[in-house]
Amino acid sequence: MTGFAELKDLRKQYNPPDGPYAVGKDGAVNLTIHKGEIFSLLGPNGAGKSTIINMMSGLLTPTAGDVIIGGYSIRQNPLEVKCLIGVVPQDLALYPRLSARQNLEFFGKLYGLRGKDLKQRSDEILELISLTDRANDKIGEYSGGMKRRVNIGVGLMNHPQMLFLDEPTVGIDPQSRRAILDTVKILNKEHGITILYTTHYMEEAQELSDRIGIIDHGQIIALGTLDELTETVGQYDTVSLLVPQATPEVVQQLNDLPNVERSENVNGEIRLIATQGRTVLPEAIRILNEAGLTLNALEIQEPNLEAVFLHLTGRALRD
Amino acid sequence: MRTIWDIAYKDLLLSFQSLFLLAISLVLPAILIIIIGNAISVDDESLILNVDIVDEDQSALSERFIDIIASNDSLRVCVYGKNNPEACELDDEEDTNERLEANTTVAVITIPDGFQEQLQRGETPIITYQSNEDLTSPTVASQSVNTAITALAGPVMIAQIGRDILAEDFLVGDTQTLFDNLLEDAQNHNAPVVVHSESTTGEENEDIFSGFDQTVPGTSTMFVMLTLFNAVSVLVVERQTGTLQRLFTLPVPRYQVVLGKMLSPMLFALIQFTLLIVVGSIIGNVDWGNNPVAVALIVVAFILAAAAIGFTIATFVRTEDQASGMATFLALTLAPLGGAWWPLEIVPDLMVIIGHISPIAWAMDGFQDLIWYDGGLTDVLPEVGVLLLYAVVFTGIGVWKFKYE
Repeated sequence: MTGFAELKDLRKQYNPPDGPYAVGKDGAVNLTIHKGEIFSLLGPNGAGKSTIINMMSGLLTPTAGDVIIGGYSIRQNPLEVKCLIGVVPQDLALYPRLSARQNLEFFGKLYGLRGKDLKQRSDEILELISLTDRANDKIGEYSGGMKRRVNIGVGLMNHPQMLFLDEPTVGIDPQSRRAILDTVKILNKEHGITILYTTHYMEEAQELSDRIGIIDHGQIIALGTLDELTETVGQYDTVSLLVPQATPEVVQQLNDLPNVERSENVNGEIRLIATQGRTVLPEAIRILNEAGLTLNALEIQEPNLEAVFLHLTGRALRD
Repeated sequence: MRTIWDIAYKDLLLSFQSLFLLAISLVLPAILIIIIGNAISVDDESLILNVDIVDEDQSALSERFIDIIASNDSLRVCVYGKNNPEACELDDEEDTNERLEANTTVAVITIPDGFQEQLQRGETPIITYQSNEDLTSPTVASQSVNTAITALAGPVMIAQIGRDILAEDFLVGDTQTLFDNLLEDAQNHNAPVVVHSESTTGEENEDIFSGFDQTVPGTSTMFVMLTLFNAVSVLVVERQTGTLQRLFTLPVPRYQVVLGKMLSPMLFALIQFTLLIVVGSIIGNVDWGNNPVAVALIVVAFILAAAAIGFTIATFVRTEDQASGMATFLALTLAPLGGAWWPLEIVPDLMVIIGHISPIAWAMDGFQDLIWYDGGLTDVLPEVGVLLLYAVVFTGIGVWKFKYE
């Protein structure tokens, strides 16, 4: 694979020189996204994912550094870069009083499509997002999932070589989420579109990505394939104990058990990062019994991105 | 350029899909124009004043005197004992005080018995002038009486002098016939000097002032300003929903996106202004002068100025509520300040100066040049120039301050 998009020494600071950094405070961000891959930026809300996409799409001007896409600099050749990319923003950036077809055709015109080409492309997109039957209904009458699909469709109008999807599944039902994830795979596998996908859902990043960058506080703190990333936490399992009445003393006792590397209590769910998680269980249950606490549920997870994030930051991804 | 039009066309389409917007922008101002225009209009009849005359002499000279007063178009002369128009039927002399007190008539003139004889003898008859007006300041009625006296006294004096000379020097016997002939000759001569009055502000329109002449341009400019200022809300909403940002991620130069966004409300405002001018012309019979190019120039320059101010507002507000509130506040402040609700001629000089902060004042000045003073293209160029200056300055501020990110 060759590098299709490169972030070079990228930083974004609002109201410099004293304003806060959104990206690159503790070191400029460098990243290469290969042609044809699905690259996910995984991180909690406010980590800087959207800021990076906004700089890559020319919406925000980097304070320092540059973005090169398809050989063009976003600073020097913004229009050339914008011809290569499609952007699906986190917001439903659509006109609710226009139909799906009108929305697609409006944005298509701004991409330079006219006449037959415009209609043909609109038809293709409507079919791809499974909305041909509802093409002439106003967007305002659509469900959240349908709007999300049109939001993606608009970003595809110009046959982009690279598609930016900024948290495209936020706030929608599981069925629509499934449909969107499947669409992303089709776009990548069948249409050869390079994908940059941001999310704070670990499962999405795990399912979709060829490579994953974990981002926190505007810095990419880990980068690699799923296997490479989980290797960083070794053979650690995540043992989740649902104990609504858990006290800090009990959590500390659990943390002190042999094989337990780290623990946390998130709204009554005690999570233990441990080697050979199953060996911890008998002692953990004994402690809970002695404390008179009820164990409502129990789960052991093999190493995953959640554990990687917890391992790297000391915080859960959902924080 | 095609892109600018694509963006503007889409926004225009959305505007015309909103019945509420159409009602607020097009129907409401038209209704207001009709109501306010009619409410403050002055019809021809109500401008004519009644003057009652009691003619105790019933002579040729008293009738001549009455005719001279009646020749004033602004007066309706009602003579006791005569067949009068329906508007001033008089029963008896007792009516005079009542009519004065009720302001049915502005003056009662009594021509005394022996009026003609006294004049013929060279004596001075006394005409009684009763009025409910302020006698220290000349009015149409009192001026008309003075004019009649002057017009009558001159020929009478000539006839008296002629009669006396001829009777004494040429021993003419029938002095009465001689007086009558000389008086008739003197009355038939034209006045040697006529004063022609002109307004220094231009050739004044001969039509009587109509409330529509003020209301149509005033209401139109105010609503067009509201339209253009409220277009800010659309820009803010687009920024909040992310569609504006999405436009900036397309391969379209940013200035074209901004121009497209500005063009749409300007086209809507142009349609709105044109419609209100047509309504004003048809319903209010407003005469916009004989130079449509001058009207168009004011309209376009005003739209450019108001749109530029609206664009600048967009750079300072963050929410739809802020935008809407700011737009309404500014439009409803600048409208009366600039003379949209009443002519600036009736406000103190200081307020006239302050009022010209508002672009509406300059537009109204231009429209007044055309409607009230039959001005032409060159008369409105200064106002158009100032409006274009507004447009340039505020567009500059808007482009400078606009938050693209």
